Parts: sequence; C-alpha cells; structure tokens
Amino acid sequence: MASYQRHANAEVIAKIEAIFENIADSLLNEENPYVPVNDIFIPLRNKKHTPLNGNAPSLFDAEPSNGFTNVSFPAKGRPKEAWRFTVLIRILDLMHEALCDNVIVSKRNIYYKDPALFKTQLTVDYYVDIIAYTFGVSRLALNVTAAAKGLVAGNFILKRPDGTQAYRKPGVVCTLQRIRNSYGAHRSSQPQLIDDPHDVQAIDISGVAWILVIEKEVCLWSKGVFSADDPQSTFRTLASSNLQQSSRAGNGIMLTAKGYPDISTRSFLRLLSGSHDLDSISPPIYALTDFDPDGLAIMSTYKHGSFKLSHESAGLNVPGIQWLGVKSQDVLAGNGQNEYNGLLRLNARNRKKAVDMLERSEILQEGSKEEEWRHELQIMLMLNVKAEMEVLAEGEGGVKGWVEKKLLVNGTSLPADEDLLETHQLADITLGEDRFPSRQANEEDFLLDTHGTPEMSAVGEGSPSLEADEDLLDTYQMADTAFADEGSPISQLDEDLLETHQVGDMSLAEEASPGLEWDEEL
Amino acid sequence: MSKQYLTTHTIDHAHPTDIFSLSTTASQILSSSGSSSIRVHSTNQPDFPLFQTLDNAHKLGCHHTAISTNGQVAASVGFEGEVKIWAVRDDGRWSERTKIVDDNKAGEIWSIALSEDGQYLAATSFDGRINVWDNLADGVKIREFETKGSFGMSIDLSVNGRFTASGHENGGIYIFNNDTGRLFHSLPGLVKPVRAVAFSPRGTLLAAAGDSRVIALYDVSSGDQVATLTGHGAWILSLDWSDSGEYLLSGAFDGKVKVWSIEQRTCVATHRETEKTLWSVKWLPKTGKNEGFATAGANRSISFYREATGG
Repeated sequence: MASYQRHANAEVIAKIEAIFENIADSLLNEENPYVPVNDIFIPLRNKKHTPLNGNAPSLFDAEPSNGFTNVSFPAKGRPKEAWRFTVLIRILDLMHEALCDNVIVSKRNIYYKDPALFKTQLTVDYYVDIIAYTFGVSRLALNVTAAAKGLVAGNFILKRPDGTQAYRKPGVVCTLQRIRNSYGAHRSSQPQLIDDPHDVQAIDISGVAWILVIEKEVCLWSKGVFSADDPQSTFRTLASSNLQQSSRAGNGIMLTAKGYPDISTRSFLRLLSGSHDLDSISPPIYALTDFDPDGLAIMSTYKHGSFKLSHESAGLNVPGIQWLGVKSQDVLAGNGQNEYNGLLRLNARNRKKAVDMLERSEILQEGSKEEEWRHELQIMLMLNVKAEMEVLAEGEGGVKGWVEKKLLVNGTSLPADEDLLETHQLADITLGEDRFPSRQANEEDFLLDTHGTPEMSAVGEGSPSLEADEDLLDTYQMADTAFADEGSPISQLDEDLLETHQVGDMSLAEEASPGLEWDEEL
Repeated sequence: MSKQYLTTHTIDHAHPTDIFSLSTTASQILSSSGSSSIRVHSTNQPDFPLFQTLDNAHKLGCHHTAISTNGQVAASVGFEGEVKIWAVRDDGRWSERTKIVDDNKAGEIWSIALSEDGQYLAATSFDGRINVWDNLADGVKIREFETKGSFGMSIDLSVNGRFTASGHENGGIYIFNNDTGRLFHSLPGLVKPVRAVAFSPRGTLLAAAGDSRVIALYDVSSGDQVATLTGHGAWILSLDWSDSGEYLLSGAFDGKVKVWSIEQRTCVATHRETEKTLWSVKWLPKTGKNEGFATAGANRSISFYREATGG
C-alpha cells in the first residue's frame, strides 16, 4: 500500500494509508488476547444532524463534528456493518490507487470496479462523500469526480482568450492539454477532459480529417460479454490505439461526454464544428453510438438538442453530425442465422424510451429530418433487440478497424492543401457570455479548496437550467427502479444512511435541475 | 414432391418504409408499415391496384394488422400502443369503427388476432399478459390471461373461437381456453423468442416458430409436439396456414419464404427474391385450383406468387 512517490495529494494518501496501517496492525495483533476483537475498524466522522427543513443536508453544509463512528469488522449482531466495512475498504483502495497514479476517477468508475459489492451507484456516492468529509477535504482532493463528463483526444490546439496556450492546472478537472503530434510538441494518446468552452477562444483544427463523437467511455457490463470487473472502454480503446493520429482515414479528433452530453461538451463540439478554415469546409463529424434508444437520443442531443427543450439550446446544436453506427445492419447482418452475437433484449424502459422518442420528437416524425432513426427505432421495437458498440470489438480489426473502415467508406480524406496548414487562421469563435450566466460559480466549483457540495460541482460543468428535461427525469427514476429490481440491493444498505442520502439527492435535484442531465448516467 | 411458384406481380414501394404486416380478405390485401398509413390493394385484379389508403392510421407506424375470417372486421395496432378497429362497407372500403387502448399502463399492446366474426380481439403485451376485448360491447375487456411475464410476441385465435395461443420471448407457448378463461396447455416451448403462432383452419394443430429457426407443430387437444419442421436458416417471423390446412407458409429474417406440406412434414418450396427481412407472408384466396401467396418486408414491396400449373 505504501507509495514512495511524492504527490500533491500526499496528505490524503497518508490518511488512507494510516487507516490501512491500523487495520494491518490489528490483524498482526490478532493472536494477542488483550486486543479486543473489534479493534479492526475505519473511523468515520459523524455528520451533525441537519433538520429536514428543506435545506440540502449536504455533508459539506454541516458543521464539522468532532465525533467519530467506527465501522468495525467483524461486528457481532450487525451483519450490515461487515458489508459497509468491505465497501469502505474497496473505495479507499481505489482512491489510493487513483491518488498514487495521479489519475482522476469518477464515482461511476468506482462503482463499475465492483458492482456486485456496491449494489447501486448510491452506495459509492454516499461513501465517497463520507470519506471526503471524514478527511476534511473536498471530493476532488481524493481525485474523485462526480462524473467527469467530456473527454477529448486528437490533433488540435486550443487558444485561450488571454493569449496563453492551453495548460493543465493540477487536479482541476476542466483543463485540456495541448495535443498535437506535429512538431512533436505534445504527443499524447491520453484522452483529456474537455475544457470549459469559456476558456477557449479558438481551436486550431487544421489537418483534421474527421471528428468522431462517441457515445460513452465505459460500457455497461452486459451478460457474459464483458465482466463487470473489466469494463472496457470504447473511447479509451480507440484513443490508446491512436485512432485519432494514425488512422488510415487521416488525423482526427475523438470526443465523448460519457453518455448524455453536458453543456460543456456540446459547446466544445460546436466550437470544433465551426473551427475550420473560413475557405474550407468542416471536417465531417460522425457519431458512434450503441444500437439502442438511448444511443439515438444521445446522438440527437448533440445534433438537435435535447428532445423537449431543443429550442432553448439550439445554439449548441451540431446539425452536421452523421451517424456512423451502430445501426441495425451492423449488428443484425449475421443474426437471424446463428447465435445472438452480442444482441441484447430491450427492457421495458428501452421500449418506453423508443416509443416516447417516436411520439414526441419532431425530428422523428414521418417525412421529417431523421427518417433513418425512426426506422431504426422501429426495428428495435419489432425485433426487441439492441446492441452495444462493444459488439464491434468482435469483428476483424476490432473497434478501431471497424471505425476506420466506416470513415473511409464515408469518404473522409485529408485536407489536400498542405499550405493551408501553415497559414491557418484561427477562427475567432467565442461563445456569448450571456448564455452562461453562472460561469464564475462554475469555475469555483472546480477549485479544490472550495467546499461546494459535490453534486453541485458536477452540475457546474454545464450551465444550469438549459438542460432540465423531464424525459431524463423519467428515465432516471425508471433506472432507479431497475436497480432496485436487481435483487433489491437497497435493502442491504444501512437504511438510515440511505434515507439521508436520498433526501439529499432529492433536494439537490430540486435546487439544481441540471443535475438531471448528469444523473442520466445512473 | 416439391411445388413450383412463380412471381406474378410485385407492387414496388408499396410503402415508403419496411412493411411489417399483411392481412387478407377474399379480394383485398391490407399492408401496414413504419409509415402512418395502411394501404389496401385489390387482389382480384391482375395488376393488384391500390384500392384505398387509410391515412394517418397510426402516426408512429403500424406493426400488426389482423382481419376476421369473415372479412368484415380489421384491426391494426401502432407503435404508440393503440388498436384501431376497422369495419368494411358494402363498397369494400374500410372505415374506423372504434379504438382500444390497454388501460394498464405497464402494458403495451403488441401482437393481435381477431375472432372469426371479428367480435373479439385478443392481444399480447410486453409484460406477457393476454387480453381479450369485445368489439361489439364498445371494446370492453372480457378476459385477462396471465403468463410468466415474458414479452408476448405473437398471438392467434382458433377459427372456432375456443382457443387463444400466445408465443413469448422466453420461448414459452401457451394455449388458453376462451370458454373457461383458463390456461389449457403450457406447451414445451422453443427456448428462444417465439415470433409467430398460428392455429390450423380446423383448430387441431398449432404451429409456432421464431428465433430457433424451426417450426414446431403441436396437437391442440393433447398439447403434444407432433412435428418439427426444419430448414429455415434464420429467424422465422411469420406463419400462415392455407385454407385447406394442407400447407403452411413461413417467412424469415433472411428473406426466404417456404411452403411446407403438413402431410409430408417437409418443405415443398423455397423462394427468395431479396435478402432483406420478410416481416409478413400470407396466403391469398385460391383462384381456380391454384394456391398463391404474398410476401412483404424490408424491401418495401409486396410480391405475389402463384403456383405454377401444368408442370
């Protein structure tokens, strides 16, 4: 467990290691009859009771309390406590690993490390915040984000309004490293978190032959195909295979919001889409999504805005997006014949989502803009099948090979004129300030020393109120139900804790409805 | 002994999108698709002219249709989950008579079947329930059969009205007794999704097929599986019995349509005009001595076949 490297977060690492050392010491003393059995424990700081008067009972709003509660192992007569202990150990271990490797993980990442243990995302959310509170630090100091949304990788240079280049503030989630393979300046296949578009004056995308929007980073584990312990990441797989730099289809940019896009990611893509040279055309922008209703809804959000409030965020739409896949023809070609090749069945939520989209989305009406999407939704409903983009990994050349082939088929080519690259004018595109009134507040939320509520900082990644969407709320609620259906894991939680947490969640949702966009991920 | 069928006519682009369902009367064929309208073509003229278009029948598209054996009542169900009941007038034109919406919100009306005289409509739901409505009594629900909750993908009513059969996503196949309102048989199913079930005209046999790529024949009274028809290489999406009960027609995901002799328990004809999915295959009324059938699917056309004579 000990780390010999020096880190900015050394203090937190030390605190985690102290807990493990105490436990190790207790284990070593096991045979010592004078040490009580309950000596193996993790101390958690008690939260002062916050009256349920409608204020968000956030952990950080509460006054620090000096009292501690020990989660012990074993705990006679309290079977749930063993589970809590295990959960805490697992989370602490993962945090420690993230801190030592100096990578930022999301609560969602943590959950997917061991869904069988955590049962629900709520468990992780709750204990991550408890640990942060116990240590007296913000969650970000633990290198855990609520959900770092956008990631981007590829060949471009950011210009900031103050004339500086893009740079990386340690530990701040919204920075983006300059990535460019020419000139050997920075050559990185590591995806970067998407910059706050307010900090971007212009993007130089000269030499970019294509832009690929990918639905998600981490796949949902699905029966038998990918184990939960080993969540494969389409985005990272493609990024680490350097698709964006060594593709036969030319250099490109890949971007993901890991699910439903937040405002920042959409703004960034919008910025990219308008960053081409004035006398050239934009590189084609493609979307790679799952073959399921959410995949189409996510693509639609990038392209046309969220279903219900499309008029309000039309300024962020990227209408030129073309659907690369996964389409019915991609997954059904070999089916109908042999085994299911990664096909999954729609659940009730999927079907409801598909019907809602067909019913309510203007663009999916007969004779409207997206006839193909309408058709694909109908095919899903008819056959009751869906497929995740990970099925492409089964084919020759894997996901990368598949994407490359599709890019080539779609006629992507390198910009012909090399001279253009040298004299490339940066398109000066800035986003209107007034569209993002809460910008200052958002930035504060990202600072490590700000004790904002964790959920608020996640919300802060986008501007509030633009994306409040009842659709998504519905979906979120149904998703919750689905979790509960999977063997009623909620019953395993300490009910007191859960109750507090849920109350917290609900008041947060009321206060800051944009959180729904993010909550979709749950 | 194999049989030979020839394509006699094709209605190209009968619909702008995939054709999901065909239903026939003595002189008409109704087709529905991912578009909002239902089309009616005459089958008693050599060029199968368009007779009527039921505009805006289902805004989101129409996935299933059914016509009563007496040809008087049609039903259609759209992706929005609503059933429309249509009545034919003396001039052969159809008009909407009533609507049926499943009042249980958890449900979603999927596959449908009409009784011989069109009085009763039976339908499956996503959550596996089988409901029966009385069309004469303003669409009152008169039966609700529960199954194990697996998506009811296919349904049929026996011509004599005694039985309802349903095929489910989990491979389950059930026969219900409509008189008693009880489960009559839970058949040894097909393990994989059952996308089509069909009673023989005399109601003695039930055919079932789907992703297992075989057609199972069951004896309705005993519930025993009496035959397995193998030969399809892809999911079977559609089944239809000839009027005489001698032949069974099947259409598959890979665009192949097959004719099976029930007496011989073998495939007597296979045709494939397209590799695109055949969503629906239907026998046509006999003209003279010759059997004929129609197929439709992802190529958006309706193809008509007739048995070759004199061979």
